[in-house]
Amino acid sequence: MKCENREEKISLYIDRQLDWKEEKEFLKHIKQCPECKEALQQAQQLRQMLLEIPMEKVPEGLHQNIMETINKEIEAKTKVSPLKNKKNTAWQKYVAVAASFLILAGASKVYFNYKTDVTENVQIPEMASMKLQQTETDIKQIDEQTNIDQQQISPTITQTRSINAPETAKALPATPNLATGSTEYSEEGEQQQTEQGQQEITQQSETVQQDNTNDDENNDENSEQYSQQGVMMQAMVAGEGTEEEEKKEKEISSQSDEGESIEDAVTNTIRRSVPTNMKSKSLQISLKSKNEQKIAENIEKRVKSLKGEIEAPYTEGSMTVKIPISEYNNVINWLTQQCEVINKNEIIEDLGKQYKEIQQQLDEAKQTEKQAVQKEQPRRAQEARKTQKECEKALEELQKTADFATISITFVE
Amino acid sequence: MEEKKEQPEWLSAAKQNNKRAWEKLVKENESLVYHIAYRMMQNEEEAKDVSQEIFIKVYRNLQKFDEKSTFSTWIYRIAVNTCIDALRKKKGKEVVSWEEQTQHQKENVTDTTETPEEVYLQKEKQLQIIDMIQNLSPEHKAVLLMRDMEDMTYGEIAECLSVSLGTVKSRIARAREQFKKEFLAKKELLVKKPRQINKVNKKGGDTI
Repeated sequence: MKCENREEKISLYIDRQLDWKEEKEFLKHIKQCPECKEALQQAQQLRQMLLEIPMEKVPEGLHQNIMETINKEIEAKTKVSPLKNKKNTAWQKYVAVAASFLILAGASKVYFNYKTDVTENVQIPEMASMKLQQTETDIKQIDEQTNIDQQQISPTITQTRSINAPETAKALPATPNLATGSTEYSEEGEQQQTEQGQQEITQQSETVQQDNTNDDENNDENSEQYSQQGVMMQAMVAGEGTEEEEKKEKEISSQSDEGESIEDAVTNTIRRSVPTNMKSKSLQISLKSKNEQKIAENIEKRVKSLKGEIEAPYTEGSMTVKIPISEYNNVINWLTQQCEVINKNEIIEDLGKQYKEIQQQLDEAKQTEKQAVQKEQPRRAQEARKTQKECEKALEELQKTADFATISITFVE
Repeated sequence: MEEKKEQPEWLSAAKQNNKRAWEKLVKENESLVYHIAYRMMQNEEEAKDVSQEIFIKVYRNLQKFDEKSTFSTWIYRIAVNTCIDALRKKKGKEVVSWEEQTQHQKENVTDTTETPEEVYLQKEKQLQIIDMIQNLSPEHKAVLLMRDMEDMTYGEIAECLSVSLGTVKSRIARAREQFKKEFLAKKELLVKKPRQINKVNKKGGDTI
């Protein structure tokens, strides 16, 4: 062997990377070549020296600094509502289109309610105003009735409703601008939805006019559309058509129409709005306990007895469970008695809007299927059936989300 | 198909952003990470910064960890590559003096020998050896660290650096050769007069 590539051969020999033939040849050469022999010894010494260097101590405060950075990252990541992480993708595809129906429904509710009482008061503003208040009270009663119905199904839902109320109030100041036809919406997709909604409403407006028996002289179709649009946009912001919104609408519009079918429309709107009270509830709670293992076991037992679901069993001081929403308050009270509550973060999300949107999409798909069958368009019918199935599945998922509350428990030392 | 390796118990919880699991993850790996960062950066402050950066990368990429390698190999890979990047960025910047460097190092190296004098000499020698690695390229530094300080296998190094075994073999040989040159050049100064050794700027410039 020549002394070429000496260092590489030595390096490979030290690490036993030469095959037996190469190794034999290398050892034979070492015996004859003092330079290579010395180089090998030196290489072995150097490696030994490097291996002997001890590990450094971790500087004080480094752990804390790293944890602070990581916690910030975790918080930033988990800030997103848990519901958004759920697999509700099936219905999301339809939301954009279905939103226009929602807008229409919201507007119709407001519009028709308003029309039921306003007609006779149109010429005397003061009286009209009084009557409007009466209308609001009526609507409120209907709404309350709806709430009562819902309460019977699940008592906790009403509680969540009141939590959402300030959000609705916040949405109101936007009304005057919107009512004058201003479309300052910047959120993605909403502009499109509004445009779609406007088209729908134009159609609706025409229908109403056909039914009209008391057309006002000053009735202007454009302003009517604008005012409806304003309410629609409110409905989108607030999630529901509230009585305040209706009042605003009445202040803006001075037209009145009434028809017998309108009564039905109101009833239909209300009947359809029942699922708007659907809410999902999730809670992030930090608990302090000396015996968290036992508490966790008890929680698991209780969840099982309530026919709930253990989404993530107890590991590393945290667990996630799902319990029937009707048991939510009981479970929270029970937890509070078991250990000290350090932090509690309740997230409530309105599912009613989504439910309604999907439901409408489903109805539409059914209609499309019927038409396609009549027109002998099998492919279109098949697509419609597929849409129906997806919608049904999405409704089922949504119902499940509303029926169960998710509780994420973290034990703090 | 490659099978999944056995992983630490806290891993799945850490993937779900569990803070306590992260506490464990950091605790169990900070020493390794800091060790790599320190050996590569050879400066406490930079090692601390790079350690933080490494853990952020670990956090951001944890979901992508397919568990086909051990967690320590995976974190090692992130650590070494982050250090190589940091060193590349640092390239050409001012090199810190020997004295500045050894001040922190002396305090942090653990005791291994008996008498105080022996401890001192041993520490000095170790620090001088670490310093000799300073002038190696980031890639050579990394393989020397993995092979000769950590005693990792060629396969592990190849996996860590995402290079072939052939590349690892030649890179280790060249790194050792480079280190040997550094060692021989400074051998005379070893231990005898450690305080008077100053680093020479990489660009062949002035003594700091």
